[in-house]
Amino acid sequence: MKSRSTLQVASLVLWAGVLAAQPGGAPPDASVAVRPEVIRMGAFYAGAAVEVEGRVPAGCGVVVAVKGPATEETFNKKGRFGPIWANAGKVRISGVPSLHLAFASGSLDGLLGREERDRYQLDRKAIEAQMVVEPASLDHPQVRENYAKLKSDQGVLRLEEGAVRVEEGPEGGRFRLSFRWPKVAPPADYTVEVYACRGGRVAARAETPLRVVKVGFPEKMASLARDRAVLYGILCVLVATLAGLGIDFVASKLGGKVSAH
Amino acid sequence: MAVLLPIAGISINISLVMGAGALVGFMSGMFGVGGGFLLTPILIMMGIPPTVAAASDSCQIVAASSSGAAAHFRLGNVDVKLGLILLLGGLTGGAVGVRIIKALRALGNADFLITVTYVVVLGSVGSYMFFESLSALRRRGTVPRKSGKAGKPGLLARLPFQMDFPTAGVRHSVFVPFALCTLVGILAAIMGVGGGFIMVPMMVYLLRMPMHVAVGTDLFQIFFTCAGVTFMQATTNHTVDLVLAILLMVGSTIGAQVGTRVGKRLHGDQLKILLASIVLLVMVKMAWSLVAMPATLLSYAKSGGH
Repeated sequence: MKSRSTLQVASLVLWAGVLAAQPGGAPPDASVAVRPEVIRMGAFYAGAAVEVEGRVPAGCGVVVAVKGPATEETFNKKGRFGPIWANAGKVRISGVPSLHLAFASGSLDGLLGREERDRYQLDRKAIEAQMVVEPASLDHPQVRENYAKLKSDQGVLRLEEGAVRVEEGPEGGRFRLSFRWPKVAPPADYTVEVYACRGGRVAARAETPLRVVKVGFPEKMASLARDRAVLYGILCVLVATLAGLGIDFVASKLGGKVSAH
Repeated sequence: MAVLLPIAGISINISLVMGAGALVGFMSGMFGVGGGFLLTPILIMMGIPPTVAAASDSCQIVAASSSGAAAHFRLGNVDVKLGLILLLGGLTGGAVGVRIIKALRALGNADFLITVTYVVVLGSVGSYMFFESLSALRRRGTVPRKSGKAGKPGLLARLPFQMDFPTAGVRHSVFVPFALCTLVGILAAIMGVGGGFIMVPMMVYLLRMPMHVAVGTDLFQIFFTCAGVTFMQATTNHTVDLVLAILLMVGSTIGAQVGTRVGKRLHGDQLKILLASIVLLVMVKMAWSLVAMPATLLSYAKSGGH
């Protein structure tokens, strides 16, 4: 038993050393690149086409996971009081990524076992299992399921099986994935993670950052709202009032003279 | 065509947002209600964060109400003096209501009480308005009916500080509209709405104002209320998305103009029946939400409407 623990510690140290030696923490036998590396959200931004490609060891299946930073949200939770459904309190949900898109070269169940999917947080069940629901008195499986459904409906939690193409070559497998970046994903630092899967386990992994930033007019507006709030507040009221009066003026000219009531 | 909302930080289809704005603006121009109760949930469904949805909604209502109030002003439907008293009463009631809701929340399960208040108030106001207008429509042509001083109770006529409101064609003690509006403000704060749904029927049935003047005067006071809310949201929470608000404005101001003109073509009692029907529909929806099993147990915290 003791020798087994020593062996596990030694492998962990070795694994950590390998990760530390590689840029982005990637082991030597997997690599990933994403294009574009930075998604720029301009005034007429409508999502973006993203391409992910790289190499994995020969004979491996591939799972690509795009994850956002950890998020924390508060919701009203409904409960039953006799025949009536009413808000039973607030629940705070944390420990989940703000966005989780997973793409696999085949069935995720076939590529990775439950333990591995949970360990690397690679599917909806893993996210449900790892989320933190507070207060504990309101932590029911249905709350976790409902949260996942809510995020899935918003398009920020999804799994596409068969979306990753893998071609075997003399130097191992080469994978490629194209997908549409969701329009609703806010600016943040995201991570693209690649898992080479063999025998239901992760044989190698690599990751690369993907930044989403506001540029141009939206960035200037956001800075104004943040840094010069009073001016921004006056601007909002002024623009709204003038827009209303302006449209009324135009409408009265176009609509002709209207008699008083 | 999509556009990026700078504060919400998401990209959204322009026509979708403008369409939602037009629908709400139409109701605003026609009935003098802000429509925030309808628009905020629609925006949340589109993926806009709830706090940004509610704050930007207030900003667009500034535009819709200024457009609608200006149109009604030209039609002679705005009683400025009464509007200012209503505004003062509404603000006082709002401040009191916020304290009441805070106390209710401390007691626990305040949301249940809020929903029940909604059902009772909307049910009573909507039913009374609907049946009263229906019978008035049936009477039309046989018994001439005039709104004004005729129906004013004697006790109210004896109160001090009686004042003429010529545009509305009524005479009341200053305390009457002020007290009623304070009450509406309290209810509005508890229910998390602006109060148009209660304010307009209250002006018609208790202050005996003609429907069109009630709508115009309500829009006038909504403009000031929402301008204040927008400024406070922008300075304290930084949640007003001006691009989102502008898109909603374009839709809603056009909708408000159409609503005002359609409303003008309808008889006051027809307008009342339409408004009563919407009030009753909202009431039925809320009553159903109390007993029906929800599709999901989680919902984003509601941030108030108008």
